[in-house]
Amino acid sequence: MKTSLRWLQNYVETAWDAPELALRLTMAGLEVEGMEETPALPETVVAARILRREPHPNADRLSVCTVDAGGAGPMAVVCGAPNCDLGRVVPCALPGSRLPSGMTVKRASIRGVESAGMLCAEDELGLGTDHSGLMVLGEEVAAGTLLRELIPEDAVIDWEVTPNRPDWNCHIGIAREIAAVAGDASRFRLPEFPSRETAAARAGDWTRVEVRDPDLCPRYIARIIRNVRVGPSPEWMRRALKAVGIRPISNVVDVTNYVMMECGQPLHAFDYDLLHENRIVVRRAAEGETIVTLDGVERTLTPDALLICDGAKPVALAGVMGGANSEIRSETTTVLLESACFDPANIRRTSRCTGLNSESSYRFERGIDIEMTAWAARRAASLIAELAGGEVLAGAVDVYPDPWRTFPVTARFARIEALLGVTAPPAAVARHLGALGLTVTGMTDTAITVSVPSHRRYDLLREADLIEEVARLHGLDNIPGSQATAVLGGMRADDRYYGIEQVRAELRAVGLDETLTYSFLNPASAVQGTGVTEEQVVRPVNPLSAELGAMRPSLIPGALMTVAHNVARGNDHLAFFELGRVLVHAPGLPEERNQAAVALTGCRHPERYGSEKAEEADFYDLKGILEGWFAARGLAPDCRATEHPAFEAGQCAALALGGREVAVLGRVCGDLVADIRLKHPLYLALVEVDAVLAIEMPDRRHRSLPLYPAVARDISFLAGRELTHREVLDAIRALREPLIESAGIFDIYEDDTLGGNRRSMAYTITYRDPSRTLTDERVNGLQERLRAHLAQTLPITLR
Amino acid sequence: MNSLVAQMQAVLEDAREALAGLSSLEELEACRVRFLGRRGEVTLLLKDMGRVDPSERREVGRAANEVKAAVQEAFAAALARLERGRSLASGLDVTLPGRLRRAGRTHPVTRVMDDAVAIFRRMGFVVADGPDQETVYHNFDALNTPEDHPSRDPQDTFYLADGRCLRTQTSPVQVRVMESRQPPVRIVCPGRCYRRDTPDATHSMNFHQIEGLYVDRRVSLADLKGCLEEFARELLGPQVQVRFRPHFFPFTEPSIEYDFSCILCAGRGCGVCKRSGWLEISGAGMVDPAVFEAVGYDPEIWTGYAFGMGIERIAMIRHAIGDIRLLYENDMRFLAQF
Repeated sequence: MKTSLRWLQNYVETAWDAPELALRLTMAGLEVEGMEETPALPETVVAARILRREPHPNADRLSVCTVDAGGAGPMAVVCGAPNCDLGRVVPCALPGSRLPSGMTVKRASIRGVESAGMLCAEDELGLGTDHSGLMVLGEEVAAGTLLRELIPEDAVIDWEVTPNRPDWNCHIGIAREIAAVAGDASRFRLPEFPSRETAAARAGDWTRVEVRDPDLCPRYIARIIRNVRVGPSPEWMRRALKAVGIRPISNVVDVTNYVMMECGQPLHAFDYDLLHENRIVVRRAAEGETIVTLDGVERTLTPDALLICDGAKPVALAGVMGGANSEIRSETTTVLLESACFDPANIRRTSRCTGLNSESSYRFERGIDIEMTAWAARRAASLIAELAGGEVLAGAVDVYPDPWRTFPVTARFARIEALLGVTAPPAAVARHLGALGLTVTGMTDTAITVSVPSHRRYDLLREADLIEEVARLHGLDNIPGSQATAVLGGMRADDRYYGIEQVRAELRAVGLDETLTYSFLNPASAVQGTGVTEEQVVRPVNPLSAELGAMRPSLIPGALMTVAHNVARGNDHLAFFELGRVLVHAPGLPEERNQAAVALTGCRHPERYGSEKAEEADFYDLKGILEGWFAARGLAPDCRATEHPAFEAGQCAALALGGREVAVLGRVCGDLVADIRLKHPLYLALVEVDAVLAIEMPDRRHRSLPLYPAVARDISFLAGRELTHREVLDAIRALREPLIESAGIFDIYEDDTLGGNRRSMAYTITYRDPSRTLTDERVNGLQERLRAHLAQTLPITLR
Repeated sequence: MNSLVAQMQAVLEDAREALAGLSSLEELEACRVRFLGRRGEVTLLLKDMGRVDPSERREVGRAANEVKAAVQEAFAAALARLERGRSLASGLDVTLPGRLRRAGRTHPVTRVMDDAVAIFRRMGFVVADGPDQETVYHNFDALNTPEDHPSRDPQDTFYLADGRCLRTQTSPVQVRVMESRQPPVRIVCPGRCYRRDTPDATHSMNFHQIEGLYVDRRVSLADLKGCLEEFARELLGPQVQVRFRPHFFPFTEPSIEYDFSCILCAGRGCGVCKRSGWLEISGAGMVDPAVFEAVGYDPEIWTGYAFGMGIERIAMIRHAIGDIRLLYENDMRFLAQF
């Protein structure tokens, strides 16, 4: 359903512009499908009548038109449009006009001919997309008329009308809704107009209406207008219809469409003189009866279809389409205007069976306002008389055997509150329902009763329907989400259990069993290997015993106790962790923090056989476990050698994330495990879990997979043992060669023959160009450059 | 039928029979020489084609070729069979142990804790957290614990030099949450607690609890019961029932103790439930108005329930563990069972 904002303003006072209106009604349940705004035209664009057209002396495709633009006198304008025909009234932009397209019109000489302005096509004025020729105005438009008066600034909104609200299928219905949303029903008013019943003759004397199937046609009104002159509608009417998507046809037909778009009542105009016996019979079709509809197609009907007939034959397929035999012609002088109401289900069936969908059937199928039928007939008759001349005969034939009666609907305030979860003061409820134009007929402390107007007779039937209206006008946005049914207690991000749970799962996934140890330690050994001083240890003043006098400052002692307990029982192959809080009094450290201890001892694969069975887990197994865990979090720690009281010198490393040290690992010192009869070296890691959790997850955007193949080249060299793998990688990175995708070590070889504490290191360099396949030549060049760079920056001998 | 064709059919039968009995590639080669070699039976018969009456030669020729092809096919099949047999004989001993990539095990206490948290989260609870070293105010005073209540005694509670204590329950987290936000509140607080109990089969100086708190308008005892029933059924099975018994706690009014029907004997009575059919779990109740006043909630508007339970107790019930100390020994042979 398309509405024009300017048209709507005939019925409702509103200061909302189109975007505001669209937003307000969308929030009230009437969605916008599209919006087109007609810009304000400059004052210098006027209607011009073409008085003469001559070919341009110097250009085949141009014409020189002499036009009357209402100014001082005829003026010459050069025009390239094919349709600048004599007598046409077209828009003319005078010099200085700044058009909505952005161009400014100037007085100019075009191929040697002076042009005093520019004749415009629709698109040049921002009024549409048509550029096939000049925009043609009605011939009645006076030269010099400002175009902005003819075509004022406007906005057309296309609404997506839901099936429950047929009353929204017209301007009046949407205007009513605007008033309701604005909270004031009095902003809406029906237009006033003269009846133009100037003829003394009475419609009742000129025609008769017989409705044989009142169940399918509960109301039928006929009005008669005589002495009309059928012709084109005036410009305002044609523009109004075009704006809302209806093709103008003739003044009489245009009025029927205009009134339908105005109040939702489909109308049909018959040529009175083509009606046999000048009368109307409404009846079901006979089996196999045919009618040729306005589109020229002959349609065969069943008794399910309802026909409008004259004294002899069908003249319209009721509510769907008129018949060709009775349509308004240019020579029509007397019009019989039909304003009727048909059964929605019947129209739906007929429309489906015949495959005919019209603006009329669309509205009848959904239900129209049966009480507007008489108003629409009066309105249309008056407009026909206004636009096509003629006189409206007095009165109407109105067959309405069972008039519609309003009915009450009651809503209880407690029910409103219970359903909506907001307080519903009776005054506010009454205000909302009143804004909709419902009449409050009863109000108690507990409930409100309204009488339903005819335009809402299909959708306001029950208490729930009224509550829905209250919710709409209260504003669904204004109903606060109830915390009681949502999450109570805080954000998931505040829930630290998630992080801990996740870490535990990740540690299990890399093959570690979970352990739990006591928080109480022997003060004599509580700080051993922890780096914590005795003063920093938290001690209960009333310990259970002196041996349980210290709170654990680190998980290392607990892990050592777990190892000792298990090794003493023959469990030699261990891979476990504990995650828990440690307490310390230390400046710069939180009083309580989560740590994870990881312990690894024994063989990698005791379940296997032969030499593999005896392979001992070493430093790199533990490092790999931590790297695997961090990789699961998308993190790649930096590793450097370090020293720590728990670990053997030269077999200890620190891992850092984002420059912050988060873990230390290594082979546990002999002193710490002197009492444990270890069969294999014990490796241990201590991780600051809170620090790991505090690190933001890295960018999770994916990288496109490469389209071109990589090329791998090896490089090997002799180097002193003090040169670390890390230093080699750093040196490769320092080259900043974007085509190096990765570098990985593939061999380290140590042999006395290499001489003086040296070893051979070999790396595979992977090259890849993301935009093309690398040639051998290119890779050779890159590899040479890398070799030279490494030889220059590292103490190595290339091999 | 031409006698030559008949002879060839017979040779084909012989070849198939001979091939079926083969068990080595050497035998297969001998067999090939016998039938398809330069002087093999099939080869020789084909050479006799020259002597066939010209009128029959075409038909006999075709039959002979078919037979030859069939013999060759039989040889190919026999070769494939023998080769597969050889591959099988020299294949992997798939029964040897695989190289384990084992996933670690969850400690049974943690597993109960995780399960409890997951169940309560599904009911709309959020986890809240607080310190192990707690003020006496949060651990006792704000929970309406009388000055002379025995639980405050240094016999029962560990105190620190700065006057704080090691929390004896996770309830102080509830107090901290209520101090920091207005209702409605629906939280659970899992965590480690400390009591000055000498370790034995049923006592531990540190243990784990999860406590819940729900404060809202019109929260009732019926809601508490529904919540704990739901929890019991989710954690231990649909047949588990919950029983409330009146009790007293300083911070709830009314206070109750609740029991789960014994999962081991289905309530019929066994050693674990001391023949009662019920397992005592823990305490709960409606939050005492005095607790609300301490945190600045209006008890006229808000009502709420609180409950707590010991995680080790439930883990021991779940796995029929008789000695709580097993849970802290970390013997891998024990932990590997979960």
